[in-house]
Amino acid sequence: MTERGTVTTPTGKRARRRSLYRTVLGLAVAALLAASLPFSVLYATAVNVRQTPVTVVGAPHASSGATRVVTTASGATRVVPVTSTAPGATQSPAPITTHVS
Amino acid sequence: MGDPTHQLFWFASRAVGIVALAMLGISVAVGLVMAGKPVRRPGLPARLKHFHEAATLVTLGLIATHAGLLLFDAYLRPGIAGITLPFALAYRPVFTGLGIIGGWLAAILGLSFYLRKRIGVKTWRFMHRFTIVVYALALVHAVGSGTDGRSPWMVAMLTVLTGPIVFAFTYRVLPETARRGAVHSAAA
Repeated sequence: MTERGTVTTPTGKRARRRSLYRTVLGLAVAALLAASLPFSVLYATAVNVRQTPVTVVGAPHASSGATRVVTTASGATRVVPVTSTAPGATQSPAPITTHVS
Repeated sequence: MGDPTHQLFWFASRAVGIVALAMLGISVAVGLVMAGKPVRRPGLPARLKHFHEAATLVTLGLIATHAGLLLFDAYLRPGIAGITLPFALAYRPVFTGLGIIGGWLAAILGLSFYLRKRIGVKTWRFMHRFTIVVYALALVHAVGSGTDGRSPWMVAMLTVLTGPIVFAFTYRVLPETARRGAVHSAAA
């Protein structure tokens, strides 16, 4: 790096310019690396906002809120209240019970 | 909110804008330190000048990138006029307009350094004093038009950047005798 601010010879000017280019390049790379931090934060925030789950406000049938998933004869699954038995439904070996508030 | 991948240019522009503001703040602070001459050490002014010049050039590049990336944003679609003409953009026109004025002023004041022999060193020095206005405009632009302008991390960053600038600016505008007195009392 040129130590003196008033270099006027062509060689000195060239050396000064080359040194300036190097500093500019170094700072530019540092700036781009630094920009990746806010970029990642902004992107991650947008992804998280998009994937926020919708809150379930109530169960369709059960007033108590306790439901279970049962498999019908056709193989399809249904959510039914634990107190009632869906017609034609067979209880799965290990029913999954969910509590929806 | 839509697919975040559709907003890549928007995020990139905002990220580069934040870094441009930081680099501008550093460059302005170094310039004020150079002008105020609080520390007189051989070789230091040349080093500071070298860094100040490089930081200014990188800042100008970052400002251009910040604006240029917006051209590819599918939602905003500012067009060339929207990023170059003050108050032409429909999105927060006052704050984006002030940012565009700041950008042009930065380019004029920054690049005038290379024309100082033509325009005269006295004129250039007079013009260069208005660099602080560029920082003020950038600050208002960031707070007013930036989506994160009032978020805690942005406020923290702006405080860290602006504090030394206010200090260096106050020191710079002090009369020479008061400056010497300040340095002596700080050293004592």
